[in-house]
Amino acid sequence: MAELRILVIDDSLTMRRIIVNTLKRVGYSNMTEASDGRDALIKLKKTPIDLIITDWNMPEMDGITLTGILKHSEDYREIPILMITGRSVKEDIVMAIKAGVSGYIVKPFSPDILKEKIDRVLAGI
Amino acid sequence: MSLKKDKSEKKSSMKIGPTEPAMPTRPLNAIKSALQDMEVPIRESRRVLPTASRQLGIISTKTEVAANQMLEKIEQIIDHQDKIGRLSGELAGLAGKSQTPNVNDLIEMAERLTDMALTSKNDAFLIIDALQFQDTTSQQMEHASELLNFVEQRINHLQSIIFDSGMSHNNEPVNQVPDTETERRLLESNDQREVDDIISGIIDRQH
Repeated sequence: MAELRILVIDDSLTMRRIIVNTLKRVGYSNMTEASDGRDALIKLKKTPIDLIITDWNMPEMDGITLTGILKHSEDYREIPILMITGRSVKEDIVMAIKAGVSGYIVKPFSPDILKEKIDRVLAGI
Repeated sequence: MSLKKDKSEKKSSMKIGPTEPAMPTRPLNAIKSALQDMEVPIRESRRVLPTASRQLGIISTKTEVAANQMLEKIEQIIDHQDKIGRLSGELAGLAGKSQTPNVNDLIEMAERLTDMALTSKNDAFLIIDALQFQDTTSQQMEHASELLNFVEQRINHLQSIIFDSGMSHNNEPVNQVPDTETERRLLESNDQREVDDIISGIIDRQH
């Protein structure tokens, strides 16, 4: 089975390192990083990606805007998007679901939650 | 005769009765308007300052909790490294003492070393988890900073009202009142189960 290629998007270098280390901990090792939505679009053109994990609040282009762009793109609409964010109010969650995210994790998160959400997203649940 | 007429003319021009003080209406109106203008920035600042203070308090608490969590794990890692070092020494000693060391003893020691190494690795991961506080507290600090900038603008505006000789309102603050939604979001703690329940509810309604 091919290794999952994951794009991790967050404007905080610390947070990206935490997510990457946590992904390694739960068994994934092929990660690409981007610092915001605009950077993610550049990386997507260069690297095939199977799963996107993105923050919400980012400069240049936030996670919701990026999700909207990807879901309207023929090349990228099928890539599942998992949002990891500090936003937990209902209105934000509804906005994210409507934008097209496949999974939603609130910070701070545990490795178990991350693994569970990735499994669910990949299973199409 | 003309003198009498003059006197009577003078009398009529000097009316004697209740006198009204001359009212400086224009400056008083300006003062009143300025005082009314001051009420809004004072009220907005009073609303915002406790929030900024709360945010900073939460940041301080979260930082301390995270630091202690990390320290605890670091101490455990150090303890495990000491034990690993001692066991390694015993292992080397066992191997050195005899041409045919007891295999079971060697296996047991190797297993203990492996367990300790794994435990140390897990402790290191827990430190990484604890470092997530940095992301949430940085957002809270940005929000607290925004609130304090807001208060500073209001104070500058008050200053211009009080000390501006023309009582003009030229220095209207440009930043808007920070929204309570951001404040609510940053003060509430996040629970993944509640989020999952909300998402389940959304999906159920869609079907």
